[in-house]
Amino acid sequence: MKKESVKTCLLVFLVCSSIFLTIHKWYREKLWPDGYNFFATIGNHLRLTPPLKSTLTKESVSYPKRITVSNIETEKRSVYMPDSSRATELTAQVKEILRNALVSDNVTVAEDSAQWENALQSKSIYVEYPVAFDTAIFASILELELSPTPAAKLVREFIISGADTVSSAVTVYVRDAGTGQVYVAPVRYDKQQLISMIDTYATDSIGDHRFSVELKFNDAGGGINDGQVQQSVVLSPNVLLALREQPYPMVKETNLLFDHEYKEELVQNILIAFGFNTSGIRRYVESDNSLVYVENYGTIKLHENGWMEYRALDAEKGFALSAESGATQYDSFISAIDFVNSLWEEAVPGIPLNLNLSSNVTDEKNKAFSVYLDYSAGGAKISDPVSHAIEIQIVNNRIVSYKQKFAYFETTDEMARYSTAIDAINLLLSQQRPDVTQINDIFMVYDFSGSTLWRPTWAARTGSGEEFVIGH
Amino acid sequence: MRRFYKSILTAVLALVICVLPLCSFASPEVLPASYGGTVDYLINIKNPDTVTSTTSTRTYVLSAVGLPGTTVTLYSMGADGQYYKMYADGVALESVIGASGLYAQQITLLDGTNTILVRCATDAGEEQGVHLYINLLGQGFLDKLKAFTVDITNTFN
Repeated sequence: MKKESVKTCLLVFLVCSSIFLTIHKWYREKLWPDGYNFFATIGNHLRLTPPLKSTLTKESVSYPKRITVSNIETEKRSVYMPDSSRATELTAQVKEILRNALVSDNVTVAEDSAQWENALQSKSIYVEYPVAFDTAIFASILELELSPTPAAKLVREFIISGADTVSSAVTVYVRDAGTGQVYVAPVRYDKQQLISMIDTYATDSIGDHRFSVELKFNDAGGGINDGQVQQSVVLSPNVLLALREQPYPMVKETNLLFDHEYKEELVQNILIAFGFNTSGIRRYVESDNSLVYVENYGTIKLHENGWMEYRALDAEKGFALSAESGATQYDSFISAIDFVNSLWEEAVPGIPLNLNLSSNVTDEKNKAFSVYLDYSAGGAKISDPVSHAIEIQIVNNRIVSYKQKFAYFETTDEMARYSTAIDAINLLLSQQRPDVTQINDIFMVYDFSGSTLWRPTWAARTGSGEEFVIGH
Repeated sequence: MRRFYKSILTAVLALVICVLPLCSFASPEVLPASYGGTVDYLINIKNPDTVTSTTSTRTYVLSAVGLPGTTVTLYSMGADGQYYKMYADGVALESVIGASGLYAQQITLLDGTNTILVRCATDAGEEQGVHLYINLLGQGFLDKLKAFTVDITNTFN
């Protein structure tokens, strides 16, 4: 009897292990010809694992580039980049005020630029976005129903001011990014709550950061010895100058697509995301070891340096963003953002996606337009001189071209000191562009330092709209 | 022996001759109240934009545009009527204007009138001095001003 029990146990064990090993082999794709695995295909179609919650939303992609909270009375000023929980808390409160401003019905035109400049120097919150938004689109992102004729057509900067000591109203100044006209919008918001917010978030010395208008660098004339020395470069009033060297972490890049060999699972996920039929797909390898996958209507090319490129063979055969007919440019834009998010989550689940827009979001009723996005780390943009991290060409609600670098950027413990803003401008003029006479913005970015490291450095946007990474 | 002493003396003299020019490059620690320099085209002070000014901000940033390559040093008047070089955290408030011509330096004002000298010097030996009188309003005065504003507001409401 005992012998029979042992035999039974052994038999059960052998059958179970046989089943286990068979299932394991069947789902290992390398067992099959390249790109083909019947069971893996079925599994992908059935989506046996539930999709992860989206991390990239239209709201997160429209995060402010920088929020400057100033309290002149206490001589405090702090600058927030979108990389900390404090910045997230502040952004949520600021957006509530901006929503009120967009639907304000008492908007007036500012008499002159002095109102904007005075607001900047007072007890205020200065909100800057990385790109300009069509006001209607911006309102949609904030889930607002906007009046059909908003005062400002294109928005990028706002000043929330609590400086008026006579009135109890909170005022929001909105500058039209296209015309430069400033609009004044009184909003319904508890002024004491705003003052308390400013007191809470303005904590650093005001001497660390100064606006150009406070230092009178926005005007080539004036001064005690006016006329004796020519001011060769003028800074826009709102250019924020860091006057102290600060340490900032270096950033490390990890190639998610290739590590001695292409990551097969990631490759498969990319192909599936673009609707490629992975069974029997045509594939070839180029001389530089890049992989090219060819489908009836498009190709996907993968490079060892992490870049992925999709091209539709015909604009009408591009990857459809949605099944809706009559989709507007805004609809296509939002669908494109959703696609970027779902592609990332399917391709590299569990890795956070930190992206921000690098192209203006306007609704010119175009059926063909482009969307550019860049990665960020530590709140600052990863500035690749070759290309944006993601470049999407859309025609008639279809993606005809899609290019993305599959990489992850994270801050390290290694710190680098970056110079003052004035030293950076000196470098720009002495080594790169001595002809620059107007600077509209100066901000921090990450520049490639070699190997897998990126270092913090300054970038400037000139009066002509060109952007330069300083020291590059 | 005589030759030995001669060698020592020669070496010391050579050392003194080498060090003397280096000493002359550093800006002096103390300057008289009447210091004015030799030229008036090295710097244009932007903030403050008048020789005599008033502010309520203790953490003050002095700004200017100047000729690139000009060394700018800040001095503060002492009780004895002379100007003494200003320091912050042990570092002299001295810097060289770069290619942009822009200059900005944070200083901490004391209550009352702060007499500041901005000394500019070039390698060619040109010098310029700009005297500034910046009056910092005390907190007591500001509180009275705020109380007056509140009273006026209440009167009209």
